[in-house]
Amino acid sequence: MRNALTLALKDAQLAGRTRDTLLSTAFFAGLLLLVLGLGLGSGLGSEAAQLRPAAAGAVWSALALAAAVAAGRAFASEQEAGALEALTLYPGPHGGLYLGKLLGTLLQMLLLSVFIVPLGLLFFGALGAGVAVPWPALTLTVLLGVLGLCASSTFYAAITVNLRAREALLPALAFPVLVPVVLASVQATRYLLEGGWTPEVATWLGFLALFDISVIVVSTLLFPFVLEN
Amino acid sequence: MQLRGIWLRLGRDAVLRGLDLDVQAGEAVTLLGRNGAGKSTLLRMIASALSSTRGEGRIFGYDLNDRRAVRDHIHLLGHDLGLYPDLTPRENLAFALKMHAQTGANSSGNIDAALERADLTRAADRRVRFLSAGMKKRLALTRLALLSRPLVLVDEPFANLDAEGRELAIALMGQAKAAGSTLIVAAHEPELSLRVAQRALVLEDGQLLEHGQLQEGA
Repeated sequence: MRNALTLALKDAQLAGRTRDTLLSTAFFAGLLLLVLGLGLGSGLGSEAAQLRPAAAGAVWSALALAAAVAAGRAFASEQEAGALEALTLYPGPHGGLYLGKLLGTLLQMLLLSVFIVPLGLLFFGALGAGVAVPWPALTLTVLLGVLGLCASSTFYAAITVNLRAREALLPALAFPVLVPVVLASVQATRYLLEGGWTPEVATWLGFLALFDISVIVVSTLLFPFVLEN
Repeated sequence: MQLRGIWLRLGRDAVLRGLDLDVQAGEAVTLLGRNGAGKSTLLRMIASALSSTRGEGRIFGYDLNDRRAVRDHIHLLGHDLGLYPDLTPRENLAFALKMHAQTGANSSGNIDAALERADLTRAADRRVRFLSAGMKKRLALTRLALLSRPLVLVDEPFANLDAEGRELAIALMGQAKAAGSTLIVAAHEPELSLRVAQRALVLEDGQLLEHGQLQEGA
């Protein structure tokens, strides 16, 4: 765990200094929201309210793809620095490297979510005058959903880091694992925006929590085999 | 360390071909050989970055394939120096020390002293990407001496270094050896590497052809 924290702090320090991952994921997620909004005929005017049902889907699509980009950068930056092999040769269990990379990616994605979630909701008419948003429950949903996206993407980012077409392959390979996270996050967000905290929200969040724990445990156990092969 | 009948294939090519190697704890050995002879591959295999195709070996009593145990004892300074370009030299050294669980009240002082010895004090808080190739190499060698691992594997320690830097490389590797580390140094400059190593091994086409027994410091 000590190595995981050291690695996450190093990644956070580099992210704050270079801002390349933060800027690229923010730009990517913002652009995706814009394209989805324009494609569905959104605006910030009265028509936006008609697109409110699509808000949750748009926001989580943007976050899912941004998480794949962020996780990919977490390993690609090590390779570009010529530090990937050295990283895998440090003492201690390789599971710690997975947890460190996961934590570093999660911190950046949570920071991104602070801007992307309100922006997406606003753009799709789910945030604004006369619309009540249950922020505490929505924050919990974002925490669990983003954790699930980062946990899956980080694992697959390690698998694809040495492949030539890694940017294209990562979302494709991670897609089957990302589907349950996106589905549960969209459903929980949609129920929250429609009627606040309901039993359905609790069920979807319970599923998300269970999924997150399972992915993190399995990925931590499998990570040494990923790095060694 | 004992390796027996080690074969290693990269793609279709057999880079190491039935190699045997014995290195005693605390010994310093230099690997000589032409480009492509397999020196770097051998070092990376010992460091557990590559798996042997065939053969067996033990490092500090641990099976060569017990990668976790091997990693706990080694430090590899390869062609890729493993430095983060957007961290400063001080931050790079602090990160490496923390990853090796070598933290404590003295770690900051040790880093300062090590940077001063490598004549990197003035560059200590500049990003590594702005340092010259020689300064980066000196920083990587400083890290090697600071970590003081039981088995130290160094690939081309004198590349990119001026005369002063080469002397520093010899001194830092000597420091690691004096601290009890076992050293394996792959180099193209036998006159330099033999100032640290007691023994020279010549690697050609993936096989050890010749052993040279020399006086320490010869």
